[in-house]
Amino acid sequence: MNCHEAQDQIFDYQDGTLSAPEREKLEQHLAGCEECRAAFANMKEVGLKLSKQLRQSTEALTLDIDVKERVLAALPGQATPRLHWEFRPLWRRWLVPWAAAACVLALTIVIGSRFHHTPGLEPKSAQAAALPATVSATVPQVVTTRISKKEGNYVVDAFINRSQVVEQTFRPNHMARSPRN
Amino acid sequence: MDEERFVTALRNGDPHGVEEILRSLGDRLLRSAFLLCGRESDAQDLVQETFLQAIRSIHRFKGHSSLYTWLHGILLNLSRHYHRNRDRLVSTEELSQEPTSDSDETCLPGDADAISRQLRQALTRLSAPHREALILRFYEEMKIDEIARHLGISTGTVKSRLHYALSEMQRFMPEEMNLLSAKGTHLRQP
Repeated sequence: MNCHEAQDQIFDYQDGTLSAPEREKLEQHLAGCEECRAAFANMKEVGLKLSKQLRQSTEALTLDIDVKERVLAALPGQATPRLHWEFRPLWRRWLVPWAAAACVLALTIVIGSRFHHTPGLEPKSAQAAALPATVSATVPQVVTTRISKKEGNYVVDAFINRSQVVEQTFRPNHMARSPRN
Repeated sequence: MDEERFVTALRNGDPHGVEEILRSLGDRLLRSAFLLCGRESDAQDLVQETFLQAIRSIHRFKGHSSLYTWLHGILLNLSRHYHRNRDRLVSTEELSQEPTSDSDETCLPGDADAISRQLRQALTRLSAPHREALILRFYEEMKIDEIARHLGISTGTVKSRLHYALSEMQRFMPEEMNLLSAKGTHLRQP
């Protein structure tokens, strides 16, 4: 066993997860290698110091009573409203507004393409007469949320427009300018 | 209250039982969250959301680990979202206020507050994967194979992250604090 292999087993040795033959081989190497003995002793000291410092630097922290209350209020069957700050990735926050906007855009393109006038091609008068001049469409509800931080708490504002109606008036194609001959 | 009763309390939505869980595990989770994210108010939010998610998804808890480890797994996922969002939203003004050098502050070996501050600053300078490995090993005191299972990575990767994280901490911490290593000894990178 060389020093590199020995020091790769430092954590396993500390954890006591080496097999008996592996441990014996490692201890044989340590008995004859001062550098590895120092590295093992150093790692033990580092671990103890770091653990102690991490504990000391956080020991004054305690969970807020507000947090406890909000968790208890969220239990099933509790009367308190369950509106709470939700940790969501940005793409999920914007999914609904963007999906609604995409619906409106797609609808506009579809309707617009039916009324699109190509110069040189006059529409059939019967088809043009059958199409209404004003079109309205109902799009799914649009929800916009804003999350802000106020006095240590998160405040969620939700703006909900149910069944938004989009209305558009089109000029019939037969009124379009005829191409020059 | 034992582990099984904790789980039953969460499953049944028992307020007294959940209150006891909060009392028993809340502070420990909060401290871990604080080390992961570096801000107390955000740590409080992370722990709150950890418990809310735990209430919603307790049916997924199969008992393969302790309840604390399962809760900590939820916390880790949330802290990763936190770091992604924070990295995206951090303003240039905030960036300019980030500490650029640890040598700005003079630390005496016995100054506990200064050591804690320096330690937290050094932790924030590690990448999230290295910080997670370091906290799981030296704060949560997990074994290498437990960390590997918790993070879903190999034991070799855990050891490599730990060696790197320790050498970076040695670099970031002021030498006079003598926190991480005795002079003249070095940790060998695998």
